[in-house]
Amino acid sequence: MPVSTSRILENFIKRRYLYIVFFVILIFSASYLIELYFVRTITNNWEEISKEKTDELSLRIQHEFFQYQQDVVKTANSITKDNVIIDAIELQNKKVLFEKLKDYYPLELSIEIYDQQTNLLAWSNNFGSNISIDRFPLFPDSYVEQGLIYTWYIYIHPIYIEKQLIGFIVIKKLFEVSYPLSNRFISSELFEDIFSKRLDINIEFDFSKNAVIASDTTEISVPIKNINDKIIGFASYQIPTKSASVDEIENNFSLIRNFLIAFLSIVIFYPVIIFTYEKVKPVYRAIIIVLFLWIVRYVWLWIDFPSELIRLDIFNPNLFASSFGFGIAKSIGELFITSIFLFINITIIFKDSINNITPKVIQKNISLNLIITLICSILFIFLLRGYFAIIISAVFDSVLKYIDPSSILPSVELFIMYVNLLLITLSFVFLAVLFILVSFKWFSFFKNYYNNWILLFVIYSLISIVYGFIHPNPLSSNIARVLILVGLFITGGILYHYIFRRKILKFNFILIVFSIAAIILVAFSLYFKSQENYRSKLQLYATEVGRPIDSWITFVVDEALNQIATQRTTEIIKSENDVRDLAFSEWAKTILSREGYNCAVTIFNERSEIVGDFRIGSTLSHYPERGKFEISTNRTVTLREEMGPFGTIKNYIGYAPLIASDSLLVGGVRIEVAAAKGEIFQKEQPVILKTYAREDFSSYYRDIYYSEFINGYRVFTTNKELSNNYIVPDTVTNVFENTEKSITLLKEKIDGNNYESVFVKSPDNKNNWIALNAEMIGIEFCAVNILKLGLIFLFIGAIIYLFSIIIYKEKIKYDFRLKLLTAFLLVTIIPIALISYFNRQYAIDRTIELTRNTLEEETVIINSYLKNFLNSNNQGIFLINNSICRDISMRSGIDFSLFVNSELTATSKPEIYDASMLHRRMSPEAYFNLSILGKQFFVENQSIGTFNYLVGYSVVIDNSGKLIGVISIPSLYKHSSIEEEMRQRNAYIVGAYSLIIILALIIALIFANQISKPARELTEATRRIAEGDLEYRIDIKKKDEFGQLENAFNEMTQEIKQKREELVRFEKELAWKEMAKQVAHEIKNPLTPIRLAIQHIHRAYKDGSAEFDKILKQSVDMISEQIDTLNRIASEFSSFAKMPSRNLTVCNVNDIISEAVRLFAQYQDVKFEINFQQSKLLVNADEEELRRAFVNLIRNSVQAMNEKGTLTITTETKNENVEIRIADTGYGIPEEISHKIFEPNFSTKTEGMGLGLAIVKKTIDDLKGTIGFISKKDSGTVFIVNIPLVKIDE
Amino acid sequence: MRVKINILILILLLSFGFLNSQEKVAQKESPPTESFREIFDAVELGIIRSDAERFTGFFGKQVYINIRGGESGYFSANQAFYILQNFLNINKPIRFSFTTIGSTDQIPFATGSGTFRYKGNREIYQIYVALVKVNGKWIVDKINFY
Repeated sequence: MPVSTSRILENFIKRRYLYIVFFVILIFSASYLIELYFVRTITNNWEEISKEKTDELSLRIQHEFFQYQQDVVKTANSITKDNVIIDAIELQNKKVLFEKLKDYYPLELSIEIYDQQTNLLAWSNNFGSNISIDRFPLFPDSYVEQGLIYTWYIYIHPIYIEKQLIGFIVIKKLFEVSYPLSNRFISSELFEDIFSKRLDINIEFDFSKNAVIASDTTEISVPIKNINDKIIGFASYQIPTKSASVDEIENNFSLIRNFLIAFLSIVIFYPVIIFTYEKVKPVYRAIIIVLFLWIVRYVWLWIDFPSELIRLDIFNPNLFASSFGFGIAKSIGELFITSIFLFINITIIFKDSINNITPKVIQKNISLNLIITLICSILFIFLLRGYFAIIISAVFDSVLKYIDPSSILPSVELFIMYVNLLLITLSFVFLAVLFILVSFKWFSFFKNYYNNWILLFVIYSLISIVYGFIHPNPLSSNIARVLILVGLFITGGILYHYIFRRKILKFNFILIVFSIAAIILVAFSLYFKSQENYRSKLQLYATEVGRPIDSWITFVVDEALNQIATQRTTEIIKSENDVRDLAFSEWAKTILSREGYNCAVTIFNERSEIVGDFRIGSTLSHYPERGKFEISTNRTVTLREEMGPFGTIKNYIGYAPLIASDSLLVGGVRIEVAAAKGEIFQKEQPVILKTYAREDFSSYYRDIYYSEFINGYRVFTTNKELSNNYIVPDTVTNVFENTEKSITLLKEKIDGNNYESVFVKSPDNKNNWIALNAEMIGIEFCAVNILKLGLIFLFIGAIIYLFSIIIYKEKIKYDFRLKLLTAFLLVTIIPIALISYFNRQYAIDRTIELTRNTLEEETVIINSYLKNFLNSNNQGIFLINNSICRDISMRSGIDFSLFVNSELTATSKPEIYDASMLHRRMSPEAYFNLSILGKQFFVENQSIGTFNYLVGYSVVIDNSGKLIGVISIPSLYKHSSIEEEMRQRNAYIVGAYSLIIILALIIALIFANQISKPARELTEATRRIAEGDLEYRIDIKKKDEFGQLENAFNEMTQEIKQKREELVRFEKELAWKEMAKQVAHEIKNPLTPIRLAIQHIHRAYKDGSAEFDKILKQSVDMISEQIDTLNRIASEFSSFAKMPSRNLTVCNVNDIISEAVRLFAQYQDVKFEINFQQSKLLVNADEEELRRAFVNLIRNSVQAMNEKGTLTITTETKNENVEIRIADTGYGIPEEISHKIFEPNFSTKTEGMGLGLAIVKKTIDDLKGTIGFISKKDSGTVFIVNIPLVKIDE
Repeated sequence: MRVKINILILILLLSFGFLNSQEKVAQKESPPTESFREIFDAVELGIIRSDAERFTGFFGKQVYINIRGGESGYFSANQAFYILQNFLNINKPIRFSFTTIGSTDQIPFATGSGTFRYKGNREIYQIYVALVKVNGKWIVDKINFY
């Protein structure tokens, strides 16, 4: 097994990944057994378990109700202990009571104070019905009042002073709402919510007098007791079934297993990345990582992770859902995960590929170059088409409003979608530039880079235009594609210029350049596609409005009758109780409320008297008058058509009898739906009564006008500003008369204004047309919205950039330029942000002020109408009824309500009170200010749940100056115009400040760049000079202080150059002298024995020595030996002196060390311990030279141990270097010579020249590395070598 | 050379993801040609089998969906598919059939009653489906689970 692989496994184990994986698999397997155990236990012991469960649930319900009551009791107790309140009750001081009750203002409670005669003295909130006199107890008591719409918990606390009853405190708390409207207007947590959220069960409460324990075996009834332990009702819930419980267990375990799979995929992600980076070549690495990423992504999709675990709105397809990638974009949340995966994927590929696509002339093969360019450009076109498909899907498969002039900050969902789109666009830019660079690499028609670049752009553009003509649905226009190509070629050009030519290969720099390109691209794409979507919606609305809907409305009326004319309604009618709310509560349950139709629901008793009615909308013309309708046993649905104030109105009238179980006719239900096509664009309904379907039309960001035509002449329009001399454009007439088309869209100019109009031909009458017109938006609106989008994307881009550099461990160089930029931005953006905030606040205040003034003026108008009525008829105020109010409202155009003695007596909009959206009692603040403090006019901010609006109150005074009533005018009906006002102000504020911020950003960038330029030039010059380039000079263009500094720098460099030349000359001379001395010294040593040997031979020969042969042999051997020494000396000097040209390559240090170690295999007594941190540590060096250096170091260590001991070699990364430690167990280096060991000619050994370590140091120094050692006597020496690692970017 | 070919293959593979999306968009541009009875049959079968894919191919660009206690409004065909599939996944159909299939004002419609199992309880929904002719082909215009 290779060393590096074992290291990976070692790390794997060391990092406990294996243990985690093993543990997860263990839990995963065990979960099946545990699940089986639970399922079997439930199956076998179901009866016991079921009983336990129901007992626990029953106790829980009773406990929760007890707690619910205690909160109310605590508030009541604290009030009864307030002496000021008690005294005020005794003295009936209403002023003090109203003021004191402000201290007890919990929004969800209504506190009322009564005197001992049960007269209402003061109240803190105005909701809930009035308390009947027989309900006031002598001791604290509580009950629940169950109405048809609302159910209230009521607590009554009598107050005694010295056993004398002085009054009552009543606290009301909303318990339950019985209609299923999506009610964002109720903000307090209801009692039933507690159970549906915490226990996941549906509970039905019955607090009626006839409430009994459920007899059904599938249900359980729990008695509900009040504070006096008296049963006041029953809570019923369905007994959990065995199959449901088993399903629940299985679902829970499935959820756990899915989570484990997801967790496992995250745990193994890191080792996979490490493994591929260490072991696999870049291209295969990219393939492995890409495959791994997408396998993980699809596994997550398969197990529904994390949408199953985190049930957030962003995982709901009703906001956005695309079929892209088989489900990986089926919601905003899923697309968010996919976008992150995509971005990581693309950036990994880009980082790995960028080095392989360095543009250079490969070969002059024109046909090959052309083929590759064509392939790349065609692929690019498909990529672009794919990108537009995603943008189109993001816009058309979504209900999000990307362009919403009325909002300043996007919602969370919209923000995440913006992040998704920017990540996708960034990925597209990365990939598109990669395509262009790949083709540019093979593109070499000219010698000049710019000519090649321009020609390539022309080829790409031509192909994209040809594609536009060939493809039936190219998804983008030719202009858009060419503009995008211009942007991408500029981006690619910047990349090429800075990276390949100036060799600045920084990923964070690439990210910034690409982010800017992506922000511009996505902002424009999104804006224009959103505009297309709005146009398409206009057509949809026109088609919808122009379509016959008889079958649908008939179905709706029929279904509504089925739901209202039930046995339950029959029983309620028979009981002859108060059924005032019945019509509304029944309407709210039907499809009528969801669809938001103008309709009336009327309920009759057996005498054909109206006992309940609810109507909504203003186009009903056949509302039954009292006594004019006779109930019958026949069920009918009829249709009537007529022209009304909103164009053609179709009235669908349905009737169903109410027949008791004894077959007696006890009443009837009549439903009338008025379908007026033009009415839906009137925007006159108060927002609180709007339902989803209505909101869809009214959320269109421009006003839509509806018109009807007969035989080409306009017979009706909702645009009151249009003149009568309108003529239908010929194009419409031609299309409708000469083709089969039934819809046409055109731009037309009407009365000087530009409109987008959609004409639709009626399918049942070819001469009847309808048209929807939307005023076209101006160029300033377009600019404002693109700027706003740009600003949002800029913010998101900054976040993505920061995350990316964290993920890729890039470093932000917080240099002088960045510091300047930050400072500029801070000093510009902070004041701009503050000004824009205060400006907006001012705009809001102005709007509120305007509304207040309008309300005041309107109360004056209504007051005068009422006075006229009272004076002319000489009638009392009590005789003013809803009909009179409606009449005044029709004439004045103002809706209002009339209160007498704080109670509602008449209103022009009874449906709002019928729906219990507004309360029939005056608000405490209004009563306090008008009736007690005596103010003439009062404006109050009120809310229905989270919906806020203003209400203007004004007193009605009779001729004697006595206050006889109060009129209230809520701004509910002005909501559309207030919203429109705010939209325009927001558009102005956001647009203006977006423009200022973007301009500030650009100016800050230019200034920061200009100011920091001399500093950067000096830094660059210093670096170049430090590297030895003394010829480098700064190009001086300025004459300011920086120019002088640069000039001084250039002079200094010139001086350094001269000094260095002198120094080099001197050093050379010195070196030669030293060398000559050394050579002479070294050569002299062997020459002496040679001379002695020659003299010895000569003497033996002269003396005729008998041992001459022997002496000769010995002397020759000696001379040969000394000649060898001379040869070695010459070689060593030669080796030290010579400077061969290095062959620098990227090489693995570990491999080089391993090879060096192998050369010492013959040393049996030396134990080599090799410890590499990771298998690949790449450095830029001459492999042969580096190997020689390590051989030298190892040889030294082996010799220092007398060829016996342990030699440990470790490699690890440290601060962008590889650190190599070679540790021996030898005698160590004495301290006194430690400073000399890297000097040439120093050695402690008897042989050699002492040049080995000097050569090693020179080699390492030349690699910009360092070498040092730590030594301890008799323990050993550790040589520490640091060599810079090759950066991945490089 | 080999390395470069690999890069090219990799880029081609990645392009597939983008291409896939555009094909899906393109599919929606060609509505089916079947008669409206076949469409109602497909809707009926799709609901019974909890498989919205059986009938979402008959959707136009925008479909009006109204689910009791749930989503309501115009949705794209893609959104409509996931909304309905989610609904059918949570509400397991026990029985369903169209009881009325008719056509008034050239608008074919079908209504029926369906029983579904939701968290162990039975829920009854009235279902209304209406079609509309676009470019000579019938497409689903409205689906109502009330």
